[in-house]
Amino acid sequence: MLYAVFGVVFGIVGGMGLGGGIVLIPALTLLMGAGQHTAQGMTLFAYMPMALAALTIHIKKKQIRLRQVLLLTGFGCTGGALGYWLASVLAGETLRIIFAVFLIATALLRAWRQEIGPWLKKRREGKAQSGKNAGQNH
Amino acid sequence: MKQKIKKAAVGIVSGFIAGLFGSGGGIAVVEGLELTGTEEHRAHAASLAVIFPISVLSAALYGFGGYVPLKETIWLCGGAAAGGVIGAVFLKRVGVRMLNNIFTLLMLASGIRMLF
Repeated sequence: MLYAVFGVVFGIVGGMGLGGGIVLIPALTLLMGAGQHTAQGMTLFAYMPMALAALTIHIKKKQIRLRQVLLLTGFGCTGGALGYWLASVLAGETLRIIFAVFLIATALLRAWRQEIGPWLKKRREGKAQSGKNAGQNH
Repeated sequence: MKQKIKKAAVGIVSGFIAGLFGSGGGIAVVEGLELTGTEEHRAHAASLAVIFPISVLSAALYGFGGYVPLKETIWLCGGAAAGGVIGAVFLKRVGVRMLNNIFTLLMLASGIRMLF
C-alpha cells in the first residue's frame, strides 16, 4: 500500500517535469529496503503510465519534432541496452555508489542552473551598473 | 550534419544513463538539447518523447532480468498514473521554483546518505 503513496508523489513530481524517478529510487532503497537493481527496475515501470499521460498532452500541443525525436530515440535505445548491460554485471553495492555520485552531481548541476548561476549573473550586472554610476559621479 | 552527430551523441549518452540508473535519462536529454540550441520547453517535450521508448525497452530488460517484484510495482504504477494527472493539473498553481529547490536539496541529501 505504501508503494501507491510513493507512486502518487512520484507521479505529481514527474508530471511537473521535475525529475521524479531520480527521487523515487532513493525512496525505495532507503525507506523500503529494496535492492538498487530492483528500485531501478520498479522506477522504470512507474515512469511509463506517467510519461504516456504527459506525452499525450505535449503531442496535442504540437511541441514534438518527429525527426529529432526519432534520431535521438534510435541512438538512445542503443545506449539504453548498453547501460542495462553494465548495470546487470555490476554488484548492487557498486551500482548504488555510482548512482549516489550521479545523484549528487545532478543536484549540484540543478542548483547551479536554477539558483547560483542566475544569482551570480545578477550580482555581476549590479556591480557593472554601480561601477558606471560611480564613474559618472566622479 | 554536425548537429546530427551532436544529437546522436546526446541520444546515446541519455539512453546509457537511463539503462544504467533506471532514471535521469530525461535530465540528460534536456541538458544535451539545450546545449545544442533547442529552446527549453521543446527540450522538455522532446525528452519525454525520447525517454518513453527507451524506458519501455529498459523496463522490459529489467523485468526479464528478474529484478522487478510484480505486486509492489502494480501499486506503484497505479499511484504514479494518478499522481501524473494531479501534477499536470496543478502545475501552474504552485510555486515551481520552490518545489524545484526542495527537490534539489532532497537529491543532494539522499545522494550523500546512499554513499554511506
